[in-house]
Amino acid sequence: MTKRNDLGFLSEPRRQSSVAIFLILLKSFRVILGQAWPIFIALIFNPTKSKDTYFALAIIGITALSAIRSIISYFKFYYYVKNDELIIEKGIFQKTKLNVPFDRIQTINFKENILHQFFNVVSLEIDTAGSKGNEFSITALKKDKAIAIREFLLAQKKSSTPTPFSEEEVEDKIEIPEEELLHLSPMDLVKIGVSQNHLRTAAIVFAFMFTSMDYIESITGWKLENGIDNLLGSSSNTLLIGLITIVPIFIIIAFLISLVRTVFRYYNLRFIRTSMGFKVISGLFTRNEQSASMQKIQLIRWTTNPIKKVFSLFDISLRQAASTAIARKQSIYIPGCFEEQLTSVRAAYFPEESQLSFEEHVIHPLVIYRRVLYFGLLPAGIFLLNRYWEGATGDYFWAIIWVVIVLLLTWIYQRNFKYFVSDEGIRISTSIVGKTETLLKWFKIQGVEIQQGIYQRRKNLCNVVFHTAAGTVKIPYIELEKAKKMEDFVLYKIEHSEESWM
Amino acid sequence: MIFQNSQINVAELPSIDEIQFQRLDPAHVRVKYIASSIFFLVMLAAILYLRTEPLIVDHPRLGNGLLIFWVSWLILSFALTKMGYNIEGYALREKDIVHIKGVINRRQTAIPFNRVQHCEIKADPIQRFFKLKTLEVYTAGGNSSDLSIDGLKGDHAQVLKDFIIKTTGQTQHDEEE
Repeated sequence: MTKRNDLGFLSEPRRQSSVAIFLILLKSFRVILGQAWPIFIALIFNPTKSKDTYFALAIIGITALSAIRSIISYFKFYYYVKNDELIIEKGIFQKTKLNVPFDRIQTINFKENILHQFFNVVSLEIDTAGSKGNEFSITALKKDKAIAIREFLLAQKKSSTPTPFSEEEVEDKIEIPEEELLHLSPMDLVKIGVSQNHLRTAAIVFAFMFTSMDYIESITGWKLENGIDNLLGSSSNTLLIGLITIVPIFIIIAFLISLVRTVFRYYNLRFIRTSMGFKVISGLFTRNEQSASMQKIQLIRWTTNPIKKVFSLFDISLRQAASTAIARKQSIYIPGCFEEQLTSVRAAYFPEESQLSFEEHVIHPLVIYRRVLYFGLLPAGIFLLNRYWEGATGDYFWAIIWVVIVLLLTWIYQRNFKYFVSDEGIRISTSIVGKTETLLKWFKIQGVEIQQGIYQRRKNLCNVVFHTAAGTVKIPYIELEKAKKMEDFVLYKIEHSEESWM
Repeated sequence: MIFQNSQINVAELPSIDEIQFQRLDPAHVRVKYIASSIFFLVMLAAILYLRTEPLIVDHPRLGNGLLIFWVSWLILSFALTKMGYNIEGYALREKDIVHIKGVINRRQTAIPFNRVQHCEIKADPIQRFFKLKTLEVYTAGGNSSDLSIDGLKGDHAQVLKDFIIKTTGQTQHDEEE
């Protein structure tokens, strides 16, 4: 391991590894290509149009300029350590100096894609909570240097903040060495791929096809819509047949996409319990390494669905404190865990959970009427009205089907929504098709909100929202009395808690 | 601090129910009226201009419809402002601040002082004219849990802010010991 005195290099301004030039260049090319791909395709298919040629020239110009900019910005980028702060200086015309005090550092993540791996460098990403846009990254650092920096920063951080832990946790920290909780085999990957939410992926694919249809049509001159119309016939009665043929195709495409994505992202995933918290390393081409210290984790959530249940798999996400802008990135997500990993994650986050008694509560059935009104009857009514104006009648069937589906789903939702309250925290369990459970300790909460609409006021009901540094947790339609009692108790717990939430 | 684990009698906890909410300064309603008047005047100008367009001149009912829409929106907005003023309030307690607002959807938010990140006092030009301030209380919970209390008397806002910051500092100091 690197010793402290090896880190003398940090005290004077340093540049990144020179590989960074190449990586920055590549990144800006990719951005330009991402913006301008339709024009390139148009050029390939229709080289005669002169207007597009000018466009292409302009793009080549911009590309050249951005290349020069990348090179200069590499030479203007410095990082160093001074007065317990990590400092980054950058900028060509507008100079920027970023100071990050050690104790404000939330997480330090490594990211390496296939190019990084080839050059044996990593990109270092440092996040600070609370302040938006203050996360910063160093594009390329030699791997050993990056590891040394991370260890240095974590060590500094640990010594600078007095640990407001209870004795129990301190013991935990000493006793548990790095331990691998989970290592996904290729077979596990297939299971995870199979059990993804294919309907959602199908919807995304469908939406993407729809939005890019115009592009493709204008470029190639194909008339996709006519093609589809010919395929299905133009009468509206064939809507059903259309759905029956198209939906499975999309699901198959979605299935393949999820399978490939799973393998790319979670290849060789290792989920590790470290002395500080948890670490996840995964990826086929882009190797991602994310770590979270136990203190930073605000709440944990695990989900399963019918297919996953067959394999007895769970997805676990550990939500870390982060500014909203980057909140999604800060949640560590581990697919394909078994009961065993889940238990150990729960025990790490909430050691007292197994000993405490939890009181079971349900939400009020009136939620069904409201949801059916808003999501079922209202849309169905608008649909029917619209059809009526167009002069078509006899579409009641679809409207009724829609309302019945919504009714059924909300009924299941209400029946299955349960929350379990204890002295130290709450567990919320919701399920319609899949099942999602959330575990939240009271002292992690930042603020409590009680919401009431007009209807809820009349019925003495309300929604309770717990705001945390890693997102909100909401319980809809509970009795006002109960909610107020819970709020009083939660505020008391927060105000008297000596543990720091982060 | 000594580790405490005395039994809590839930019935004796300070209750949200007993809170007497402080109302905002009466001038706050005027500020709101002026701000929405400006908005509605601009909209009226746009509507009057639209009424000279040939399409609307040909269809007088459309032009009248726009005016009716404008009037009803104006009345609704002013009424909601007035009703909102009667509902909105805040309460400073020993260890937290509670804010309530909303005519249609009512939201009551409580933020413990030991979760406050920082406070800010703001004032737009109309508020400045009436010597009113807005107090913003930020937590780590993101936009959704940040409090913003409009229509505070200038010195009142400062007192509130000082109190919150003092208490926040104290609790953090306690925690470090």
